Amino acid sequence: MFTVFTKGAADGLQVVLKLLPTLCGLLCAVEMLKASGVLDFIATLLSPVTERIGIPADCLPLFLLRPFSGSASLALAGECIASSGADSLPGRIAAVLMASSETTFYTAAVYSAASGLKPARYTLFCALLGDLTAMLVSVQAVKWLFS
Amino acid sequence: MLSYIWMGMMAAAIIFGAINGRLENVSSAAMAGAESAVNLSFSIAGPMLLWSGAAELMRCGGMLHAISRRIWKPISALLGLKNADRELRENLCGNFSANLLGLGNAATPPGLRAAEMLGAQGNGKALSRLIILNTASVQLIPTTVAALRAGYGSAAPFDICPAVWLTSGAALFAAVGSAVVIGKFLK
Repeated sequence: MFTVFTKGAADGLQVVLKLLPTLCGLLCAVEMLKASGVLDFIATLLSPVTERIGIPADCLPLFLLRPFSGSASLALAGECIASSGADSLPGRIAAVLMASSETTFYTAAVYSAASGLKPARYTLFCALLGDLTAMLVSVQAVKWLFS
Repeated sequence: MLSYIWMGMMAAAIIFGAINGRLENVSSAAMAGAESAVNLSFSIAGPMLLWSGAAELMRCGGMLHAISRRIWKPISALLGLKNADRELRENLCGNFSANLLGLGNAATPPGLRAAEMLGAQGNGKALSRLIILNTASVQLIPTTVAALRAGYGSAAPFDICPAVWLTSGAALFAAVGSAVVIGKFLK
């Protein structure tokens, strides 16, 4: 029993260790973006869309990067949860989106490569439609269930 | 992919910082970012280890097996697979049950083996469904995210579960539904 637990825990440690360099690079970039004012600029640019959907500004970087990079989005979700609080609305939305969508581009590429087959052309489209749905629903689900 | 995004972020930060006259803030922000990365890792390391260990116990304790026996029917329906040999079946069940338990790392190896076997059969339709299902990430127990929330002092890290079920169910419905509809149109 104990060795099984420690083996699992070691896997968890691997995840954290692998995450640290990515986390460092990305958090530097995100902090720099925040300090330069460009993030506010993008947020105002997108605000007609994001306000309509109700995406909190704190979650915006996570929403933009979610389909592209798993470690980056985990880092951004962590940042969002840390800055807004784990039990806050933005913190919860970040967690829900993180749990209910995947790194679509990466997953599709790896699975196609493993099969040696080109999947149907519509595959990526449908997968991204799923991501978009997850983004829209995560915001509404959290707002509905927690406020 | 990430390296282009990262370079873009850096370039945007420096250019905008220069325009807004905030270059000094930008450079000190870089240091602050590095520091918070280390703090973040430390605060999630404990819960991450604990939950990963517990998940491994669940896996070896037969929970994965118990789930996989019950989910073959929905899987075959979602993939549009009529018959499959035992090995393919086991790999697909392993992939799905690990996904349901939020164990992304455990889901990938059987998932890739299943993709390989579907590729050998030339079953492109089932393969594209398998990809869609894996990108939709249906989770019953969001292990990693709960560990993250616990690390930041959430009172009840798993209280997001209903919201996760709702969201991933909707995403799954949209992704698989559109695949079925488009697949019919193209035939």
